[in-house]
Amino acid sequence: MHRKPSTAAATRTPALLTWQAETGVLLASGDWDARGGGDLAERLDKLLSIVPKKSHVQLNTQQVSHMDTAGALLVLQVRDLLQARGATLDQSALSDDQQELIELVQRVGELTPPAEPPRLNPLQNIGKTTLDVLSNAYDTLVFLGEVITRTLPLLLQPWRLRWREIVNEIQAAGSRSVPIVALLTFLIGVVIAYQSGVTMQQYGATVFLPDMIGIITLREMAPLITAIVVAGRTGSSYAAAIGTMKVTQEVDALRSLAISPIEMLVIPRVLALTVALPLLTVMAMAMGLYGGVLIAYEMFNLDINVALTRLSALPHSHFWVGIVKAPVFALVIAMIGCHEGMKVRGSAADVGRSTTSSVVQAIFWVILIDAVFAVTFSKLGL
Amino acid sequence: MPPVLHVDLLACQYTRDPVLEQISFTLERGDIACLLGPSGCGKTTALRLIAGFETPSKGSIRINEQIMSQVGAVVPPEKRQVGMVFQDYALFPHLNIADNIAFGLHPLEHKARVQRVQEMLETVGLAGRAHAFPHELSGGQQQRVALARALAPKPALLLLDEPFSNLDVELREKLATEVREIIKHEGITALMVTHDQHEAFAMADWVGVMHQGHIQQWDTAYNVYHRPSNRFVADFVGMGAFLRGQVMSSRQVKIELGVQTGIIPTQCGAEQCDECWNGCKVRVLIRPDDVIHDDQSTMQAKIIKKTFRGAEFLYTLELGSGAQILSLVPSHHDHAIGENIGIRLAIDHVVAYPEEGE
Repeated sequence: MHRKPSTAAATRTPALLTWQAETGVLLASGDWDARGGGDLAERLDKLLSIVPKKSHVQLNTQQVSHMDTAGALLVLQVRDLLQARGATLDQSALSDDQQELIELVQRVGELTPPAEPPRLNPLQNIGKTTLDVLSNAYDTLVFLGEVITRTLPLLLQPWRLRWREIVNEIQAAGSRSVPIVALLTFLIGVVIAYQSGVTMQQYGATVFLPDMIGIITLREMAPLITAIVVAGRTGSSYAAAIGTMKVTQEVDALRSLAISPIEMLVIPRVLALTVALPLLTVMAMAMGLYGGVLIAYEMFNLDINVALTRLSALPHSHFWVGIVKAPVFALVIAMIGCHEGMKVRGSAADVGRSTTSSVVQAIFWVILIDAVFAVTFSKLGL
Repeated sequence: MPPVLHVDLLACQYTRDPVLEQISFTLERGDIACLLGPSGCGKTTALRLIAGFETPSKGSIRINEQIMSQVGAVVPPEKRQVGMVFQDYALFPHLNIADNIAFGLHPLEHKARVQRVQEMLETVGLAGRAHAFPHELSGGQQQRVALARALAPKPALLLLDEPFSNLDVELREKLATEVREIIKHEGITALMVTHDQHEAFAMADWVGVMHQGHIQQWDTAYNVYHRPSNRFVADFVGMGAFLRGQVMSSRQVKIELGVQTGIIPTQCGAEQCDECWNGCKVRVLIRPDDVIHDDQSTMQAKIIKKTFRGAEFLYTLELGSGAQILSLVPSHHDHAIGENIGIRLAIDHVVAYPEEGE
């Protein structure tokens, strides 16, 4: 096969196919490659329509200067088109190299891609998603059960707990979250005070502003905002840390060294967050109240003593309603984070998916549980 | 003494196609065995089943006479006393070497723990690096730390999952021999998984060749190489070529290079009656070390390819019929491609398989 130097690439002769009716020969010429063959491929159908049906056609490629896989594919197309017309293509006159190339292309063409998973109709989709969600919730529940049954005996023998891990995790989840939680709840306090203050001012009711700020911050905003920030910051890091250890087989290594990963990795994190989140929530309450009272004083000219008196006159139940939710949120966030981490199998891509999923799930459940709390407390008259 | 590990008709299945089927073997105290096979043959699954990370769908695993795995009841890995060395070592990155090794020694007193760590560090030759972190060590050193960590609690059984695959080729065999010595020194029973036959030969007393979820042959390394039980084992382990042959009598096969004496495949009917073998067509395995270069020999073959391997040349030779065989020849016999050389066969064990409709 003659191969032109690459400098001649710009001046390629296009591939041509001529039908010689008297000899029954298809005469191929030019460059049968990716550049030269494009034109011919488009005209192929029309060109071959003049070949009589059910004839025996000889392919002559002596004048083909260069053939690559694109050209080989073109030959296969010619053959298929002729076959569709009931004619046969005789390729025996082709050079060995060309034959080999054509065979190679044909083999590759026969490789079928893996079958796509069957498409589900919308109803099946809803069903599948529902089942997935349910089985996921079931898995988490099983995990929760396992963790609790292992934690309770440990709580009765506290010297067996891994205190070093617990303290480290309290520091990571607690003290390092202080700045972001403080700033956010302060700003939320400011926003609540400002928004409600403007309306209250119209009725001359700004004196009730501290009640408003107090109730909303203590009961709802401080626990909720803290939980959401911690879900994004700490819950995801639990999933990522444990997930990475799964990928590097460190979790398997722990188990082979007779250490339960639940005791080593999960329980310290769950306990740590159960301690850290209520503490963070108390601080968040303080920051929210500070932000709100600051606005009441600065913008709405409320006397600071009046504000503090009204705040301290609020029933203590508001504080307890808020603080009671924090350990529950902590449990949910830590459990989901750790469970998502433990679910990782195999690849690093799984870690990313699990991390995202842990945040989404944690925030969803936090808000759902918060709603359940709100309804329950109002029924209880708290 | 009862066997340390007893695997009985083990099978594992996730989807419709089984990953493992009918895996059975036993390991006596102090044995080092190796599951050898191409990737995807199920060897790692077998190892993870024995470690307790996976659940079998059939069969059972006993360690020191205690049932560890059977359908529906699996003792978790942390309660098995099975040490494991992982492919990527899985060292704890935030702990130094000494703490890594001490990790599995939590039931021990502080003093005993420090002593055992020191002992292990000396055994693996890293006594001076106790306070280094894993990322400060070379791959080979990390590998030895992983081994020390797994050996420190004196497990009943040590499992090694492709332990040398992340190391340089030159280092592998050297380390495999070292690791073998360390394991033998500790007197521990070990099972390794690898796709590299040189590692397997360097490490193991017993080699189990695996293919498509089955153990094809469980034998000594020598027998796996010289008396492969079927054609897959013959192909997978070592190099070699198959020559067409014809059975002459119940112990004799005629091939292009003369009549050889050996075992006739039972498919030829040699066991049923005396004459059944007559004319049966077989393929005879010729290893490169079976073909000896001999200038005096009347048998001639043409060199069509040669590879220099230091101490020897690996020649690809063409026989009169066009069939090709390999030959290992000491490298001072430097012949050119195309040259005819004299050869002679020195086959200890003739291995023949019936022709498969080729």
